[in-house]
Amino acid sequence: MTRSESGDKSGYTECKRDSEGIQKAYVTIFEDFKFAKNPRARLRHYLGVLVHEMLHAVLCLYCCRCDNCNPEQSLDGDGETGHGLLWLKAAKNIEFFLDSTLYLELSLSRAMSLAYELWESKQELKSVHLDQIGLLKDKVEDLLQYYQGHRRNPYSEYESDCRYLDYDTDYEYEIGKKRKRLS
Amino acid sequence: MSKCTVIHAQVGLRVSPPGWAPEGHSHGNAVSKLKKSRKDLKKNRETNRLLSKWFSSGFNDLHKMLLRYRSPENPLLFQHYFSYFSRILFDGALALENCKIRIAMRQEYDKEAWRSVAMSQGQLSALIRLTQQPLVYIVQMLPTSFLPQTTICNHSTSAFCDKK
Repeated sequence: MTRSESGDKSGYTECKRDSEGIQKAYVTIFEDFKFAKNPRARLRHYLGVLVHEMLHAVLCLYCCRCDNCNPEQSLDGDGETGHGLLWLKAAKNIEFFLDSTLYLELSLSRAMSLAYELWESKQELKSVHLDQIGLLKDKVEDLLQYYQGHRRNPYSEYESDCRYLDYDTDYEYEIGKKRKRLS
Repeated sequence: MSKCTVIHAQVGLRVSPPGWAPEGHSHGNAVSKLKKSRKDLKKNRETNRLLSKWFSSGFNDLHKMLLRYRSPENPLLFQHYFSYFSRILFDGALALENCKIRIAMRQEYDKEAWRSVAMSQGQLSALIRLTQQPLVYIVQMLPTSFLPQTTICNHSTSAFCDKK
């Protein structure tokens, strides 16, 4: 399940066998009209979700899930929600590669995914070596508190979603600024 | 002249891209950077040529798609990006035969009324031809291997292992 940094469900991947017993992945991406007047931002959002779910699909189709490789859905392996360290490490490398080599700055919602995983598996953040997966402690803590219901999502503000927009040209940025002034 | 127009002039497209094409995602920059980063790994002229050719066709295909479909919600656009990402990130491990992509309205969550992505026979053949090209060197170039070590597993007791 992908959740955007604003906490909305953005997509999910199911893995199941077809009638011939062959394992297949089914990726669903939700339409999102948050950036109704900014198709470029929508495309960027969709591509982030697509890569996020494709990574789940690859792990689901090609990773071994036996007890030896993935003991009791541990965080070191696939995790409870599919966002274990396998996914997080690969996602970090992919994000880096897309950004540095293809100049395609996409967000795979890694911090949100880790917070979701920790919340679902009832584990603590200190059990994770954040430097291995390139995430900031403060951000994950904030998101974890959001899942635990202690606070509202700190990243649901419009500005955080505007990270990938071109501020000088986008209509949405103006709207974001107006909202900020009003609040 | 906008940055986008310059980029498209570089890749030889005659028509201006729609305003929502991912900016900076340029064929010329990516190829030169990949070639540069590849130098230390392999000095194989043939591989370089194939890589350049593949990138050229991949980027051109994507840009043509962007020109054709005026909305980012178009399922065919997703198919092209899916095939592109599969080849460049996962060495073609995902194809529409083993991984279906659906675009759904958020309100339809958990319902069966999906707009599934249908693919014509011609498109499927083209995709199979593309994914059969050996692109292992692209994966080798990455900072560390994307796929975790557990993908190489000889355990035979797991239900998931029997497919290997």
